[in-house]
Amino acid sequence: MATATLIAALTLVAVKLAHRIILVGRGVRSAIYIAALGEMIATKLLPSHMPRQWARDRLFHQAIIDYRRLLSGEDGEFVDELIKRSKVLPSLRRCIQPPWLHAIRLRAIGSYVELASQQEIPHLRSLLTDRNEFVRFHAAHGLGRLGDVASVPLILDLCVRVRAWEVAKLADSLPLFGREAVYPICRWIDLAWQSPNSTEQAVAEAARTLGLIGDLDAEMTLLELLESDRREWRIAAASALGRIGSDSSRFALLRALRNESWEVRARSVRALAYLADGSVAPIVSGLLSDSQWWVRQNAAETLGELPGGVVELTKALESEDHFAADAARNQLAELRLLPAGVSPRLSVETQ
Amino acid sequence: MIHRIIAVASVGVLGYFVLMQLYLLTLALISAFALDKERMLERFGRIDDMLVSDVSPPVSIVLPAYNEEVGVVESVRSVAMISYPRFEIVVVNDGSNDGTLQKLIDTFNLVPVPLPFRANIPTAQVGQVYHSTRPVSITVVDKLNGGRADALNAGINVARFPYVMLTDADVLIDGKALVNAMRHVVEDRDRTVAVGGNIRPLNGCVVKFGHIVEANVPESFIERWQLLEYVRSFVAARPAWASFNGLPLVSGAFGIYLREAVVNVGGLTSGHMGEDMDLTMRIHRYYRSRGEPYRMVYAPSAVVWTEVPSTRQVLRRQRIRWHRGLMTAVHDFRSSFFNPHHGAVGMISWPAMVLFEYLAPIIEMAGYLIVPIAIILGAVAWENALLMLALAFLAGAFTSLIALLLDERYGYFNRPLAALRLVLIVFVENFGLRQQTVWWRVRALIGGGSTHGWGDMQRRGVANLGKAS
Repeated sequence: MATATLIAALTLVAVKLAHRIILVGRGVRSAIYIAALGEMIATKLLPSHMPRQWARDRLFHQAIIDYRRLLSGEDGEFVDELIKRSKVLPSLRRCIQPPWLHAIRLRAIGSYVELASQQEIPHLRSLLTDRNEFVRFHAAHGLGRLGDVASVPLILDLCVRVRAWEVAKLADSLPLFGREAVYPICRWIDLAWQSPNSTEQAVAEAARTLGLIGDLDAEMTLLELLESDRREWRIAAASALGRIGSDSSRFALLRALRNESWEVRARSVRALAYLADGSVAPIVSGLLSDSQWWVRQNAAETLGELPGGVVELTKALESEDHFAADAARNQLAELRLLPAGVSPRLSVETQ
Repeated sequence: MIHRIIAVASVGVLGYFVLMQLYLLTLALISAFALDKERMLERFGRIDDMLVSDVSPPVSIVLPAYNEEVGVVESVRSVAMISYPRFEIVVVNDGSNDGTLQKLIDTFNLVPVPLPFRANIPTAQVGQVYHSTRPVSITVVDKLNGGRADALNAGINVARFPYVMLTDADVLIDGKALVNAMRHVVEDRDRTVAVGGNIRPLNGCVVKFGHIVEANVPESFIERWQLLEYVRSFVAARPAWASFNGLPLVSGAFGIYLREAVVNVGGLTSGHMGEDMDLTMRIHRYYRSRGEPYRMVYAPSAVVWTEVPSTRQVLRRQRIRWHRGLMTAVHDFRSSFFNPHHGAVGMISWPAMVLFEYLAPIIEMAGYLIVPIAIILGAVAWENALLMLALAFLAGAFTSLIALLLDERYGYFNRPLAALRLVLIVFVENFGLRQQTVWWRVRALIGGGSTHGWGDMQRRGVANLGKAS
């Protein structure tokens, strides 16, 4: 035991010293890469030869990723040329393959998806079927960055087969595909709806993505989801429709204010705030008397943001329903628009 | 006959210590695997995506404050700088009799609002709620004094969001703590009901603008010893407990809860000296008794820095309070002890808590009395007693060193002098202060010397915490 303890003590000191030396070494190497790349970009001179170990060093990868993010136009093209010349991508591709340890593979995929060019799309698509979940969702992000819309259905199909947390990670990559992804996502939702394998979460995430992209072409699909019998889909569709902004969306959201699920009502009323149409204020005002606290608060917040909403809030102060009056009073106080003579004193209610 | 009893008792005590060290060593080894998995997720799980994600769950951060005039404004400012897409700050002024409330009103331009909050948990009377949206959404609840637990309950009532982070007004929260903790919620939203964070002593660190700029090993022995204790607990024990969903304690300095879960168990227990352990255990019991799937996780990268006692008097009061809290919890949750219906908590972590935390001071104190008598009477050979004692101490030192090695992945304290100081404390902690804390904990069991409510540690305020920069 004494020997083991002594070894542990010496190991701790050695590890701490090694850690410090490694940190200092990393700092120096990073500075060298940043300076060398900076000079190459500034002078537009491609070196005839680059040390082979640079292509394998993650600090070099990080430096070149930073330059690539920072620069565009002529400088950006020059960075792309530097990436080719440094042979970083073949080196990273090799490291992603299964025989390597997890940590090496994952470090490589992180840099690879940031540096990959259009030529790497087939390889990235093949990584969507990798056994490692980290590799899969990194590949999805890489494909999103490159805008490979053809891989959208592949990613969504993958969402049906994997665990909840990976679905969330994969869904984060979908908005990167932009407007071009709207059609494949809508088509996938239409097919998934009929498929017995479709999972609730995958469709809900797809609907949320449509909202984040905010394209009018997604409206029909979202309207159908808002009428579906699955609560999660209705909630996601309600939030998404708020970002689309057509008359049909507004009417559908107003209808959803009568939905039996309070979560759908709460989301729909907030979504109406995004549409910023003052004509709906009198209808939203009705929700100040909803049986659920969240719906009442959301209705009050929405009225605070809608044109003409303050008038409705002021009217609600006179309401016989004290829940409605309380919600309105609080919202007006938060907006600092409480009429003179109305007390900002607290009244406690229970749900 | 007496010889025989003393011999058995002394061997029993020494055997107990060897067993305890083996248990701690096992926890450290399980923690090593759990931390590796965590590290993998943190490094390669694209956590930063959450910072710009629309679906990151919003969080209400509840800060109870009692006579925090000196540092409350800096605390709120420090919390407001956290990196997270959507959160609100709820400060609960628990009947302070200094200028805490006025300072908040003046600094953040608060206005009184008649907030119709959900009074799900009974609390002392709330006088008024104030609100401001600058720099972030800040709600201040002014209520009658009722203690820390009561203040937190009032904050939970007022919280608008589905997740509440319970903390203190005198801690420094790492900028990425919230995102690192909420990652666990995003990964399994349906089952995650609580996330605990990693608490580290702030003493000795360099603080600038409410943030740690340099983490140092504290200068004084007493603070350094507590650093080692925190590392052992938060790095080498909690990851293991959490890995089998048996976390018996989500620390009060940083805990994120599903609001609904806290409300369902009736909130924190006012007047309880270990309200954080009490809440954690009640949540376990609630979900276990209903057979609902749930998990309480630990986020080692969600780091919060807190000031630890720097004098023996304050440390004594703190330890007595903590052990009293544990004593009440052991009594309240006696039904969980080796209860297979309570899963890993009932069968592993709670029995271990009782055997190796609650009973430890009694057995250790008994050991200090019995073993010398046994040696004097010749009931135990002094060589054997010394060997077992040395084995127990060395095993303890070994576990501490493993904990420090595991802590190395967070990269703090890698100066050569800091490393030597830490190694030194591992070996000398067993002589003096350990025995003193044992005595304090025994005193807690037999009554006396306890402090109630908010404790009485002299706080310096967040802006003045740590070393002057």
